[in-house]
Amino acid sequence: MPPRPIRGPIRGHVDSCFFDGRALVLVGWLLEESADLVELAVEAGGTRIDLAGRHFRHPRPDVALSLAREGEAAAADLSGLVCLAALPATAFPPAGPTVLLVATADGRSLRIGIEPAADRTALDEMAFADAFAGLPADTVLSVLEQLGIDGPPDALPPPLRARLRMHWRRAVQDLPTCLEDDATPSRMYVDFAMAGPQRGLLAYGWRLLNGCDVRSVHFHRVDDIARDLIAHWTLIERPDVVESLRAQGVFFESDELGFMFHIPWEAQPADAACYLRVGFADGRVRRMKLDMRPYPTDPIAAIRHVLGAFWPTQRNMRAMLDRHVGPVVEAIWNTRTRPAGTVREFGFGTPPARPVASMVVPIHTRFDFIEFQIAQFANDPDMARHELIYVIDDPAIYEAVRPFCIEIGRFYGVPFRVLYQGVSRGFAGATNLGAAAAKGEYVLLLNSDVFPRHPGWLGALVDAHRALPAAGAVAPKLLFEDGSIQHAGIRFAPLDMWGGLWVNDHPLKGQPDPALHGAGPQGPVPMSALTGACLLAEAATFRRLGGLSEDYIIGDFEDTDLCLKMREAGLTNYYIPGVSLYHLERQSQALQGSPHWRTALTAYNCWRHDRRWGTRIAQEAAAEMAG
Amino acid sequence: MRILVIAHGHPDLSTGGGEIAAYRQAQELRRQGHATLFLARAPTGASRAGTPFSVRAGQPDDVLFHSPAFDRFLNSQRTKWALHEEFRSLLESFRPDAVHLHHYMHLGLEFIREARKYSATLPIVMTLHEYMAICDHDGQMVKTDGRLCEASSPLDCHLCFPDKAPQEFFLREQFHKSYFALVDRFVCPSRFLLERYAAWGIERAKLLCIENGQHLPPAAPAPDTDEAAAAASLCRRFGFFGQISRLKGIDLLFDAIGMLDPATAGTPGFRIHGSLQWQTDAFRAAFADRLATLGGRVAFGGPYRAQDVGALMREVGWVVVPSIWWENSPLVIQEAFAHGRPVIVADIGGMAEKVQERVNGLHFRARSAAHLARVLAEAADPALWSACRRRIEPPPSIEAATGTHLALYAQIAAEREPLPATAARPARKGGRAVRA
Repeated sequence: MPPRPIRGPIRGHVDSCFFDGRALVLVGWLLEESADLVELAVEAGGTRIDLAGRHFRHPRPDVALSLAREGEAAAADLSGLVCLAALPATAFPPAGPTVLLVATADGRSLRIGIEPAADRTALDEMAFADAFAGLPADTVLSVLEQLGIDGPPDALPPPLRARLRMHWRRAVQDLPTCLEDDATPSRMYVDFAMAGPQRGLLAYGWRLLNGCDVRSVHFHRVDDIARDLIAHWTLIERPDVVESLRAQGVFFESDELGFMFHIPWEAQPADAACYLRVGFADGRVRRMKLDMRPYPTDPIAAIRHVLGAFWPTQRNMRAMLDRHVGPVVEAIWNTRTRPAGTVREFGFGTPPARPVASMVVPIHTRFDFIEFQIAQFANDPDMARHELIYVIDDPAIYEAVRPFCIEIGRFYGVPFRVLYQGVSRGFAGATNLGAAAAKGEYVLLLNSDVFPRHPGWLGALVDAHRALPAAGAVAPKLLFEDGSIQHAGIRFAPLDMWGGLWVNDHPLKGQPDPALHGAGPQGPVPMSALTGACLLAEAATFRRLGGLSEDYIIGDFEDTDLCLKMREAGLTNYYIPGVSLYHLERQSQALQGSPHWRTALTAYNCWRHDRRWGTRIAQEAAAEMAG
Repeated sequence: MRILVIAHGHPDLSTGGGEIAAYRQAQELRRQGHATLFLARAPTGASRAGTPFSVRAGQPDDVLFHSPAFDRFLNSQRTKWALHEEFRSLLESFRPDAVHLHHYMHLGLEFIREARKYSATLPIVMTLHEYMAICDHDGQMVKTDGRLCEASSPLDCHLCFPDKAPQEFFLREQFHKSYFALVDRFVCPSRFLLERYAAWGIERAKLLCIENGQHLPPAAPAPDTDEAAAAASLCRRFGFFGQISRLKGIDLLFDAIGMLDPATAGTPGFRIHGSLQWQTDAFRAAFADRLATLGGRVAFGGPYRAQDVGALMREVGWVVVPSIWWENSPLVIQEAFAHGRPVIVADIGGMAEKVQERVNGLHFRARSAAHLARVLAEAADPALWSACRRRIEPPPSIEAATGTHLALYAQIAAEREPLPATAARPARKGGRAVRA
């Protein structure tokens, strides 16, 4: 065994020191390894500030060079010393000298007198920055984590925090955007992380941690407390990842590889510098940065993005809606810029001065439906008593619609009005726009793909409404083009697949009309809810109840929402089987795109509807069962 | 009376049964002294700027309509201006007492509504020549896979044309019906066609079965000098007349001829007279090939003028109408009867209705070349031929048919005559307020 070399005196130096009573920053060098120290502290006028857990070491090439000149090999390759301490209120200025105390386990010690400066400009910023310069991002961040920069705001004095933030950002920029570690083996990817005021931070990704003993996953953000994601995130199936891993022949323990989390957020993502920190049982720590983007400014594009990560078939679909997707989509929708354009109107013919009913028909994409409807209305003398309002809800078609309507208006001789606000407001918004301009005693919500079967249908609906006590909304029987039932009233039913959310069920849909066999109701039937595809209500009542709710996106559930508002106001809704029209269903809707997007949006609207009306629906359903 | 006759083509420019029937009617009305405007779709969109109309040179009462923007799925004129401005001014200038449409194809259903807008009391009559409103497959009611079709539905039609959703066919039907509601009476040249439209939803009260009128020879055809000798020769001579197309069964006829054994059936002679005007080059080439294959057994006479059809028919004994679609009332059958020739037809639709088996002709199982061959062999029998020939009834003359039409206009006008202002007028289904 070779003899242990006899150690000389401890060598070290303090380059600069900042101390203002609340924080201490000391930059210098020391040729002892931290592991050999039994003491590292500053004494300031009798107050002892322990730096044992508040310092870190880094290479100092300048020190190594001068040692080499002296013919000495550097004892340690990490000779640099940076100490940072946040302090409880300490007497300042100190009542006596300030000294750095160093002592080793083998009994050697060193005292270095220092003259701390309270002026932060006196701090050797260059030396401070150099201290971080050669360090891996992981080391810088672990130091800053220890310093509490991601702790509560009062953990560090603001000037110091401002300096450290810069190093934080620089270090986060250097982090990888995913975690790929063959040794563990572990992987973590984030598909998207979007943040913005009011909407919060929403992140969606997946991780593969086969057999790794992961102790913690934290979200770190400057100036904020680190968040324990294991408590915050929702785990979800990722069939797309599963498919890809299978193709690569990678083993995985569970198909719940995905995760999503949502964190309150008010800043712009440009200020972000966020990362995820994964702690393993063996003490290893891995970090990956979150590439943050702002939400798309177009609310529908933003919602489409968010719902891209949401499958209503997921096991945790309710948790996803309740905790992450639902609140974010709701915030995006609620904070959208409301249409401010002036309403443009043109019209043809002379509508009745005091129409009995005003038909309000939103038009999206398929404006040829206008002619199909008017070709039928032209054959119905009863139409002369009513008013027809088309609301163009699709800027893409407006230029073509105008000349088309001029032709249709002149040719068919059916008076009608056309409104346009320069934007798409969805079925509810477009209907509300038309209803606001309606002059009728009644307002008829009408889809553009609903077509009459017999003349006089609208007058018959009005007569039915007049004859019924405390009637809220009334709606006719609607048939598909093959003559099967499309609408015979709406019933609410809990959908197990969607975690028990109440959905709108159309009884008898697609089945033969019972009237063909002399069955089914003849007269009006009280119903909790009716379709908005063809729904008549008193205009005053409709307006008093605020029209159709525009909380639902693009178009869904606003009809049952209206019916439930009617119920809340003490009115009864009636299904009128004696009047029937055709409804092609979903041919008129603005909702386009992939089936996934449509289903996801329906699930969101359903969730929104359930949150507002779940209790009332349960009561209505119970009463229906009892009755 | 002042009559406006509307057709989808002018027989000078396109020869089809419907165009010919329409023009004959207009000519007959003129002959009987009625002011008659014949309005036909021009086979070209080119026209003068600012008007869709021109006049057929030398025939100032034949107006051509240069269809500006026709939607052939909806049978709709998308440029409504051509109706509510241009057609309207024509109506106001001509002031018809009745409008008789022979089609809306290429023209637009909108002609019906503009005529109704012009006058709530104007009789509007439409002759139906095939099943265009019911079927988008050229109105033939033959499925795109070749099977015969019994009835349309949005789903069935979608299966024929998968690119179009069932809902689009529903809209097409509704759109056609919204216009048909404005027509007073539909003239159906065959019972078969009448039943198809009744099943489709047209009120029976509006459907009348009236056969197209024919120009009959001045006198009954003179008996052949030696009846027996003529029968022996004529019963072996078969003629095909009219449009030469797949649907008219030309391939079926060739197949059947190929199956005949010349040794047992003697040497029957076949003549084909007609036009390949609308056929593709590939079809013409195939037709020429088959003619060549059959050698001297089939003679091709090419297109013929309407006035020559009698002479050509008298050169054969039997007229063959082997169509593979239902037909309505084929002009060729009426012409054959007018010229005293029995007809061999497929046993479906309007053909089976117009020709009675072993009375004035023979039936073969539709679409079966083998059966047609058997019937052709059987037909080469002088006794059978003479018997069928003797029982031919002459078809309605153009004079008689036109008289029926005129009476119909008068009857509708009487129905539509407004009641005195004091009397309450019941709302007529599909009616409209009188336009000032």
